Amino acid sequence: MLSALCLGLVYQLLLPPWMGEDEPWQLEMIHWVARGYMPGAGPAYDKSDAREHDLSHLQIVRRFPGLSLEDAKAYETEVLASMRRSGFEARVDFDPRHPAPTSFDQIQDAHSAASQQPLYHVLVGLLLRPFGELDPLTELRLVRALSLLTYLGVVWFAILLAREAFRDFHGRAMAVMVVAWMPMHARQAAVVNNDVLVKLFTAAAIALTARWVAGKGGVKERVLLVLCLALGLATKTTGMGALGAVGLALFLRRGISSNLKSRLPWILGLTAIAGLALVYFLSFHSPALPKNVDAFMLRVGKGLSPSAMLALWGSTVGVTNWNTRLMPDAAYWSVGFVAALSFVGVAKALLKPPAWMSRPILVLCTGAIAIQFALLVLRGVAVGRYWMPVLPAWGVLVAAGLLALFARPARRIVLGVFGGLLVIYHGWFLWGALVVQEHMALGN
Amino acid sequence: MKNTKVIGASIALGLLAFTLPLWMGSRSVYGLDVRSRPWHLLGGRLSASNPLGQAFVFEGEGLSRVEVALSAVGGGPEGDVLFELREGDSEGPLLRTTSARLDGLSYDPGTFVAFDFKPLTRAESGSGEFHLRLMPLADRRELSASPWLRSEQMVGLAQSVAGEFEGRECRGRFFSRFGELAGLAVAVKRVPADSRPTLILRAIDSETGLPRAGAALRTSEALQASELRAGHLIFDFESIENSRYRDYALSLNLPEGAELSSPQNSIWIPLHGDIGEQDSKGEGLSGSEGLRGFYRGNQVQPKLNWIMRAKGKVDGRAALVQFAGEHSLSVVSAILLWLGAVIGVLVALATGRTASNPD
Repeated sequence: MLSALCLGLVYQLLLPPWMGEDEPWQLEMIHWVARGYMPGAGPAYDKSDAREHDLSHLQIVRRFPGLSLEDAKAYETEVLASMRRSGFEARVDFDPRHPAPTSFDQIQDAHSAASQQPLYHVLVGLLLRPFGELDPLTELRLVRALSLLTYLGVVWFAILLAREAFRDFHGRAMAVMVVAWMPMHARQAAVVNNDVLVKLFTAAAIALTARWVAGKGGVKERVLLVLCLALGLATKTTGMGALGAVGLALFLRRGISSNLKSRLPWILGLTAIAGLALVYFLSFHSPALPKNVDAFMLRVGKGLSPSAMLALWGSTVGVTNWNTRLMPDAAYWSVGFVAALSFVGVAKALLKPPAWMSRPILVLCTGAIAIQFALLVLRGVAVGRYWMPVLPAWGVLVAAGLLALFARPARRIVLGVFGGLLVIYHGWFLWGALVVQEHMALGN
Repeated sequence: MKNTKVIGASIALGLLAFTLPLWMGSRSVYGLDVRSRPWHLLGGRLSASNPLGQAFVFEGEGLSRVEVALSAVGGGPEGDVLFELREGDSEGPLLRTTSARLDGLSYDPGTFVAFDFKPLTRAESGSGEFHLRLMPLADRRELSASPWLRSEQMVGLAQSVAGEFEGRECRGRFFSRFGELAGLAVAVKRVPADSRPTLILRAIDSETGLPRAGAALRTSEALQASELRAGHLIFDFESIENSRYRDYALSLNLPEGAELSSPQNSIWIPLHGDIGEQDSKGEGLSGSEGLRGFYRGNQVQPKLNWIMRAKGKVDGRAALVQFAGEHSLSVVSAILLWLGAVIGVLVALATGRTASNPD
């Protein structure tokens, strides 16, 4: 945990302002809650409104009843000025560098956080409220500090999950190290985005599910599990993967009778949560849900395309400057090789699990990853941070896969070599990519 | 004793994983680096009779490499391209020549082609103003390659325009997503030299859905002093402030011998606002610092520049020193924390004591 804390602080120091993806839109939502507004149903807009005003202003005013277009425009102008002062345009290659931007549309058209579930924005905005009037950069820095806590929280739940998955030190240590030291995850310790909160709730839900499968914990933990599921879904649609994991757990749990009757309350409960979540997403005009069958099919096609898979891998292994600058190809091939090796090991472990590994937990983690990837494909998006809510499960799979390939005496060496390589890979991303690309290689 | 060894090894590994990537990464820093993405506009086919050039400023020491973004056009590239570097303007003294083979060039996303040469001496660097020119090498008349350009204006969303675009009198309808519409670009196969293609823009009456009668809203002539082949024809006009979410009727008058690239599916690229002379990093710097305009023959287009980068002898080192100097406290703290993180994790692995394994 101390090591993770140090790493998180490194990103707090080195990630330049506004260089977390979507930070302007996310902070805008938080800002208005901190200023006393609450999300709800504000005035609707039509095409004639869109002719006269920017979409980003209209969308934020629709989300916050009572907020005026002038105020929305003034705050976006202030944020954009702060971004300019911080060198945003020189770092983000698709930024069109408008001379006097007054709207986030001028960075990316038809994009807003106002159509996302507002739990993260409300919680963080309420925490920010006592600080009073702040400039956008100070707001950003304060909210980034909270992201460090959520990162540490995810590492803590990865520890809980690893304890259930492995009976020996090597598996536990490797699984937790994957989670804490995965560069794109550690970087989120300094990013303002609802991804960080949904990751925390989902990691908690998966860890608690694992304890349930192992026959541990009482009614309080079950209640906490349901609460984490609900909070995850109220934070972002990417929390949906945990729901699938809990569903899978119904068939993995120790001591449960095989009849349908004992599972029925859970099945009905999970179905109800999923249904409510869908209605909830729809009420916020969530872009995660397709509008019709054609749109759905288009998304699936996009989600399965080779370019989407490459983009997903790129943003999982390491990318900087708002997904515009990749690392050298060798990084993606090297990490891909290790991932492929671990898949082979996972297959071996699933068929014939070693004594130091829990097969049901391995199945649970495999299922959670598969469900999360399926959701990404259905959504038609290819961004690594969207599958990271199930990162603790990924850590277990990598550890299980790599260690299952070796006999006990060699596992200590494998762990040591893996730890060293992970440090080198992380150093490559942090010092050789992020620092170089976001501080030294500024575009003219 | 064991812990001391582990800590020592951790510090060594932490330093290695910090210094090596930083040193390697700093080698990818360019003194001049145009990063605009995506790339939208093509400057036109490289030809011997009509060389394409770019004026730029490079303030670093020992300029030794220039990379330009080229795209395959027509039948794809073949042959070698000649690179000329002159001091000052296109008539200035020739400093270096070199060539590169255009193998493996693609259309999308295009490729940076590198031209390496002996580093310029301090005397040769002069004022830091240079002019580069590309043309086919030896006896080739032209090459199926074109430089990518960035506009000083904000490039909007490219869109297919419905209409009639097969003759010399073309008509269509364009929908503007943003305000401050200040230009339109369309890909052409060929526009002859000394011609004046003209674009006329009319507002659409929202009630009748027809172009408004009377004087045109904007008229723009794109004077072509030399031949343009396989590039974008760009029409500039005075910015229309309230162009957001509005339809416009456009009519294009092409000269004899001119032809659009894809008349059946004419793609138009809108240009909005004017970015020129804007600051991207601090007070008083130009957003297009280092770029001084695109040349087709002797005709300069100051609002267009090549997508290019240039590197000198010490760009990486200079950037590293600047970064360390500007953020010294953060950098020192980050390095110490990084070492702390590495020591923490490796000691835990070596001793078998972690939060997941508290005993």
